Amino acid sequence: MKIVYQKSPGLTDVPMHYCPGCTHGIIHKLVAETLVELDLLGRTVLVAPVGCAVFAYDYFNCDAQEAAHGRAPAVATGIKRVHPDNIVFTYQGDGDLASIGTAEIVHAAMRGENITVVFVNNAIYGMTGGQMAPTTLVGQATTTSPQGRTRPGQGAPLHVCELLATIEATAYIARVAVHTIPRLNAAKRALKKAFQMQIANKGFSLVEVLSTCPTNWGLSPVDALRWVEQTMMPVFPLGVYKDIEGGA
Amino acid sequence: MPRKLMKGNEAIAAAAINAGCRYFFGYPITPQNEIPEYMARELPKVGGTYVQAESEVAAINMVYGAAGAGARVLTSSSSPGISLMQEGISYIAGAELPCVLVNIMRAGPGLGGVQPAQADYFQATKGGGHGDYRVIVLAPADLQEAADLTQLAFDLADKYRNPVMVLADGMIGQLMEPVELSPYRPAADLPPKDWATTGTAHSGGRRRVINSLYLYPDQLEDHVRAIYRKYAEVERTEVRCELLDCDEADVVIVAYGTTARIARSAVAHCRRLGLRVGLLRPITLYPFPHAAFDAVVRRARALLVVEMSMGQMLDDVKIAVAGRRPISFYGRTGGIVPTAGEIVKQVQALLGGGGP
Amino acid sequence: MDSGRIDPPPDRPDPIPPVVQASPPSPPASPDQPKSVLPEVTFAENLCKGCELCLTVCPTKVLKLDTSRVNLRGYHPAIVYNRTECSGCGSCAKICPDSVITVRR
Repeated sequence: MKIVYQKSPGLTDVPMHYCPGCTHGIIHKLVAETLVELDLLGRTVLVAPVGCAVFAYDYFNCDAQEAAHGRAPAVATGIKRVHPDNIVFTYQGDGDLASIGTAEIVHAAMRGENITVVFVNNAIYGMTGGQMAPTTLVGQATTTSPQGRTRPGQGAPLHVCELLATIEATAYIARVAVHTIPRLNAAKRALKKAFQMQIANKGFSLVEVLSTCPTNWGLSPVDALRWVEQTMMPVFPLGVYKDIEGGA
Repeated sequence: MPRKLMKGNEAIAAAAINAGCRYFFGYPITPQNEIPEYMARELPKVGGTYVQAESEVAAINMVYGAAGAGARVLTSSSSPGISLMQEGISYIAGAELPCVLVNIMRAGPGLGGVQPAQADYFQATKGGGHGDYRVIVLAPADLQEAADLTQLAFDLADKYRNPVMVLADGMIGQLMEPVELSPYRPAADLPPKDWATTGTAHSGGRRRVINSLYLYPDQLEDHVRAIYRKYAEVERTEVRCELLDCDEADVVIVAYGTTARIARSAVAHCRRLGLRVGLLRPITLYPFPHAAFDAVVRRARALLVVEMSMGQMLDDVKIAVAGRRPISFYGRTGGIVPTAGEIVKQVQALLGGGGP
Repeated sequence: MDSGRIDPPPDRPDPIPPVVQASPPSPPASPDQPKSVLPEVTFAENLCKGCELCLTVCPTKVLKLDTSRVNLRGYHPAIVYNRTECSGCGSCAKICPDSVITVRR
């Protein structure tokens, strides 16, 4: 008997606290597997966000620093400049990266910091109980847009990949999803590409992962997967938005 | 090493490099821009790294990351920028990381002015950011002391795993004076940084996490109490204070930084006028030299606190004196620097216009 | 202080041990099918949160939640109820957010 799949040694034994069916667990696995397969774990430092993934430092089997809300790219800059041979990645949600942390992510990209950013986009604020996020869809009801997000007054969702792809010193920007096996496999390939960019010192890399929040969307975990496919993907198209090695 | 004519900001930056600082993250703000500019020029020459952050908020978080990775790291700013850094300073103290911060104070509040002031004393010594923590605060009065205290700051930061602030003002930042940078040796009792995030390959597989989040209240209380045991040690062993002519003084001036330097001139002038005046100059603002006041209040009839603010260190002096002697206050603000003559007039008024 | 907690801080051991539930025993082998050809799917059952994501990706639909019982976390755990149809592709294990499933072939 050969192992077809088992839990990655890139994860610790700590049981994850995420809601049933939350895609954080899947994304954690893909990143952990990538770090193991590229043999990076021993020199990796994670920068954890504020959000549902605030305890990410309990789940990844590497060194970690907990950052203030939105500041992970700045903290990562500090770590990477001191230890350029370490692999430094941030793991951020849509509030952390696209709201309070907008300046930090744009400028880390501008400086071409050799870090990798894993951006978990579930179009809502999870940990704090379901408020509107910068990536909330127009018409989507949240606790702070109870009538549904409206263009006048609340604008339209921020497209992070498209925005950052305009920044010159970025190396690899991609948007992926994990709700079917083919999409999950493509997501893992994108993560591998992103980390390989960092290994080769090519500049800033970011992978945006369309994710679910069953609890705050008010959907079952399985229905939430469908919502990503049918409602999120038309607004946030999957694809490679920047690849200095010509894949875009 | 020969003495070199330097600007205060540059002396502080040069002293930091002399003390082994190789990383600087900052943002321009008047009147401290010579510090990042010096670092941008000189750090690459010694294999160091200068990063101009997009804001002071980003800068302090870069400091957090670099400090957590085990480096000696500096940032500098001026009052409004230090306000922006308060969240990050709280995180650095909560995560028990060493770093050195420089505040070249300017007049506030708000956008205020660019001239010297001392109105950040509360912010520096009483927290500034949220939660229970303290920052060790060193207040130089001249450029040589600014350089010396900057070097000391790195040792204290590493020794106590806490942020240390060099609290100067725009006068010190902009003055030019001869400064000597003596060869530097780190303090002998500095603990190794075996908590730094350098990768599990370095630590034999043991994961290191830099964090200030403790959701279980019993754990957080234990954590904060442990940090305060450090502060108790700081208060026992790191107080620094200078007393000038206090032994037979009728009036003791209490001042720090540039104001103390001006007060020295006032003390000398008073002596020429036959007035018995002394100066108590705190060098560490935290830990505050409470005990130094005990001898002073035995002999002096009154204290005169002089600050370039509306009265902030004044509160700590009142605590230290504990009602034993009357305390007067003289302050200038808005960026105005008092003259020695103004201080002499205040002393004369206190002594009922004495002197020939 | 500890009452009502499910997830203790990581420096204290998890009081809910992950029970490993093997897939149902293989049926008697037919003469032309050696016993060892059937894939082995095991579940760290007490980590399962009953989210059903594994059901959505199984190509042969051999998974279901065992609604006759709950695990120590209070969820109906996922099981393989028809091992003969399991292809051992590992898709269930790949998508499980909690790394509950191990697949061997």
